[in-house]
Amino acid sequence: MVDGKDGPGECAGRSALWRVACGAILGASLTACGDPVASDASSGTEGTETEGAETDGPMPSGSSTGTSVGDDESSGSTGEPPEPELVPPPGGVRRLLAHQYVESVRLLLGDAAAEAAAPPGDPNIGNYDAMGTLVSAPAPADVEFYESSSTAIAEAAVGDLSTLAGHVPCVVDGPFDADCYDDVARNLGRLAWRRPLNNAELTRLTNIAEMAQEWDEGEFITGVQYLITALLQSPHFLYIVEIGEPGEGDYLELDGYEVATRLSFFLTGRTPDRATLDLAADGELESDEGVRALAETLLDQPRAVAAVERFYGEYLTVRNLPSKSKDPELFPGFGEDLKAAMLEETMRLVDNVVFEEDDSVLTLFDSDTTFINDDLAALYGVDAPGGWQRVSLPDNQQRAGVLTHASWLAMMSHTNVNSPTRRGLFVMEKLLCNEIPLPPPRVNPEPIIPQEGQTLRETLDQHMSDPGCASCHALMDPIGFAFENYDPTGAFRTLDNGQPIDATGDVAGIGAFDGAGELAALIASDPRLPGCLVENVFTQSLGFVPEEGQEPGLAAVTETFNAEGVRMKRMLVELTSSPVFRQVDQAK
Amino acid sequence: MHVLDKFKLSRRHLLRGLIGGSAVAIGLPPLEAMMGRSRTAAAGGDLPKRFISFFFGNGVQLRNFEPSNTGPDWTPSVQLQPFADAGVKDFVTVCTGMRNRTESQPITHHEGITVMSGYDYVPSNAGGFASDWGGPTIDQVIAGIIADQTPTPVRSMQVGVTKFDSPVDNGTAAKAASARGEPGAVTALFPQQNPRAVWQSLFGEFEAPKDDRELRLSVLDAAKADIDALNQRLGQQDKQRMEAHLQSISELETKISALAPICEFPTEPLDENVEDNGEENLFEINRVMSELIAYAFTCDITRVASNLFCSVASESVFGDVAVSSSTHHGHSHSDDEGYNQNIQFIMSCIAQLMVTLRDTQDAMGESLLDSTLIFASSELSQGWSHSWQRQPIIIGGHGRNHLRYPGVHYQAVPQQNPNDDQTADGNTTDVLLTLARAFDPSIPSIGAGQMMSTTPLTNIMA
Repeated sequence: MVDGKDGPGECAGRSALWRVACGAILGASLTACGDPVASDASSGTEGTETEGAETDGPMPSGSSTGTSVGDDESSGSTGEPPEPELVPPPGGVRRLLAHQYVESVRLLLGDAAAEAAAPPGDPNIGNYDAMGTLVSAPAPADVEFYESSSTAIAEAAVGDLSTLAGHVPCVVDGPFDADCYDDVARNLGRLAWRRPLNNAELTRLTNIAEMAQEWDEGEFITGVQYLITALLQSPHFLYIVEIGEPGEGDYLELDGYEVATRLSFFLTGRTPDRATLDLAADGELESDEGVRALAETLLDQPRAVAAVERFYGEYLTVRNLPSKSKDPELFPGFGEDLKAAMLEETMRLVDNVVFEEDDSVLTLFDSDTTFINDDLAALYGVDAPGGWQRVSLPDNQQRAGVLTHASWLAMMSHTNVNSPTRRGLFVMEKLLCNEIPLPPPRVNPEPIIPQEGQTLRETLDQHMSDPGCASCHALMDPIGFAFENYDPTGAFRTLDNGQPIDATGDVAGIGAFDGAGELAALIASDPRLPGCLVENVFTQSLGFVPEEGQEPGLAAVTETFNAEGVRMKRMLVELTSSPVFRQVDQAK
Repeated sequence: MHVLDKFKLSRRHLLRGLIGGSAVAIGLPPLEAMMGRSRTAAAGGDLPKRFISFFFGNGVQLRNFEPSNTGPDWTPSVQLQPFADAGVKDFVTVCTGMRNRTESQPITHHEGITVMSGYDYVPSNAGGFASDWGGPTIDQVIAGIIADQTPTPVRSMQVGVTKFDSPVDNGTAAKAASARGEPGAVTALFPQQNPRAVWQSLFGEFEAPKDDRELRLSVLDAAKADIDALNQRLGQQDKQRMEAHLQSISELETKISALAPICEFPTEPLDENVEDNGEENLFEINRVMSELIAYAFTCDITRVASNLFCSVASESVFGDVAVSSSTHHGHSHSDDEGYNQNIQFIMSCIAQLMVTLRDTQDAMGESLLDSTLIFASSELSQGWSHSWQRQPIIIGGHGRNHLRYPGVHYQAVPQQNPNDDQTADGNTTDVLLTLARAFDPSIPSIGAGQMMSTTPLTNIMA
């Protein structure tokens, strides 16, 4: 239990038990649910009777729900359940994301090569890009992209050898012979494949270089060019390989190079640089201290800002804002400049909280100040600041943190109307890690048509009259109603369809509120938020949705996260040095 | 700029439908070259047949979709009228009232996706509503048959039209309309919505053939050797992915090694389909994709295509449709005029594909539409109810008289009322088996479990 917020009647908590409770109710329902379209937005994973029967209550999720002080498995006298065992996620391979590919090419071969890079798009299958990297295989068209991209990169790289020469001077200084091909394979290969190459691999690469040189009538650089194409089409470049090796514990330990690779992609979005690989070679990444030191070093790089922004862009979904559209007749001002400004507002707050102030990330959810430019000032109905400024918006707007930013509000709405269900669902599932059961079959058998003179809330309340639907929509829609003072572009309003807006609510497990500002305060103080954030970071970075076996490790990270001021960078360091991040189970 | 200005057609501007209706022959591979690629054909067997799957999300309005009468003289409904308007109604077979026998857990838009494969979906933990393909889709079953009989330089092609899908529906089944492999080892094939990229994957290799093919093959050999080495350390799931990667490399090798088809290629389209939601030129993108498919068929670069026009629960805003003010998904829940016209628009896009095929001749001088079968369906019957019974099924072409011509309206069981989307009978997978038999008359079944079919739908066969 979490401050009395979790309870079987509310479908709250991550336990399968609660999902079953709601699912059973929903399973009996065959009638209308939800807002005009967003009833589809409810989601969750299937619970089973078996799961429920074996679960005696909510499972620990984050430090806030950890087991009681004094638990002692060895005593055997308390009757408490044993400490859950940490099971790390499985080892295996992850495909590089497109941006990781491009940024790695930039490190390896320079800006011109990165500009020439055109890898296939990321397989878009889930809430986070990384999810697709675990399961997708390159289709024929993808393999062609990998080939044509490597060709274009290699042409650009030999057109401007300055970056490559920084790794392998002989490509400029000579002698232009087989030894230089070996140097390229050995040194560029180590950067590209994130580990030293073995002799068989070196031979394969230099053979290609020599074949190419011969084909081009002795032209040395042609050999380098084709060697590069081979490096970049190899699975050792295209996949992050994380197999691990036996250690002292029950599970496999990532070796130094694998740790260097995982941290570099996680915190800088690209392949490890030479200095980082040297740490691995020197055995510096086999200790907690060494890993922490590397994480701190990487977080001090400017690239870390982009990596953290990428996380928040995916977490809050606002990275999709550029392609979001609104009904142009209703919202003619919703154009490229405004959308760009909306996104920048959120990212400026993230940068400020995480990097400039190194403040608690809870501030992101209840900050009473924000950053606006003239475009946003017009949207928010305040004086134009004449450029980006940090401001406090009028009290009556109840702006507080990212959930009242136009970016998130615009994402969590349709082209012409708000979506209280999606807004509420996001809070429950993405921010608080409470899974909402699936809707029943034949949801919405009758079309939902808003009536004249009705607010959206009134329309949805009508369709919530069925107790089966209401049992779980009550967990989403009332939260979303708190944001009804903002229209689908995030502008403040007091009327909906000519009627006064009711933004009050009292949601089990959350509390009572009047408007988004009060709800934001409840969310920011909700003990589930930090642990759920850690879970989201874990999934965004590695692609895995945490399973029960990973919960103890993530709970330990959350405990430290809370103890050290809920600061993002501290949490990232703690996570990277955690066994749940540095160990793997058998390769999947 | 009008998209047709951007999409430069064949240097000879050969497709009849694109230059005001004057019938001209397209530059074609010689018949003997085309036949020579086929063991079956070389032995005097079947002439080439082609297949296209076309998926559109969010269902239809059954009261405006299902024709009121059955048989060959079916009267076009409101939403099927575009086929009559385009002059291709005789090439259309409509199946209604059929039962989708999936036992997949209902999650609104997902269980009905199975109509494209005949296999229950596999649950996915990708977040939101999520499912993965549980078996190969029909286009890939047929691509496999053709690859065994008559390898083409490209085994199959996957295109898409709108880029805007559902923000809450995830997994491979929601994001891709094609999947290949066997249950337990299925690889999704994601659509390409950029016409230039589609052109490149079809014609780029042949348009500017390089003389470094041996080197490129050596590089691919090295990649395969690396995969083999890596495979030794991987678990079963990743090994399957590596096998799929190897197969893709193998197909690229086949293409690199293939002789360039002796036919005119279209020049590279300039359109990259980058417009925002609501501003996409959907009809024109669909037209360009249709033409690329037609060129690929005519040049015998491939014989199988899929078009994911809009995915499950797609939130695309159809800017082409004047009364469409919300997302297609939004309209589907309101059951309004925007929904009705969006569906008519989708049907006009399928009709446009058929017109393009009709007006394009193959090596034998025959209309491509005579040798092609198009299977079009949606994950739902009606958008607001999320019913996966009575799903709309539209078949274009007759596949060299494999199906009846003129096409018929087959109805498994009548509706009880105009909005009845539950009464259903038969097995939707029967339709898939019927189509597969056009390519391999001996194929015993399609699908698995309750969805499996061993009985083709003779009512629609010639």
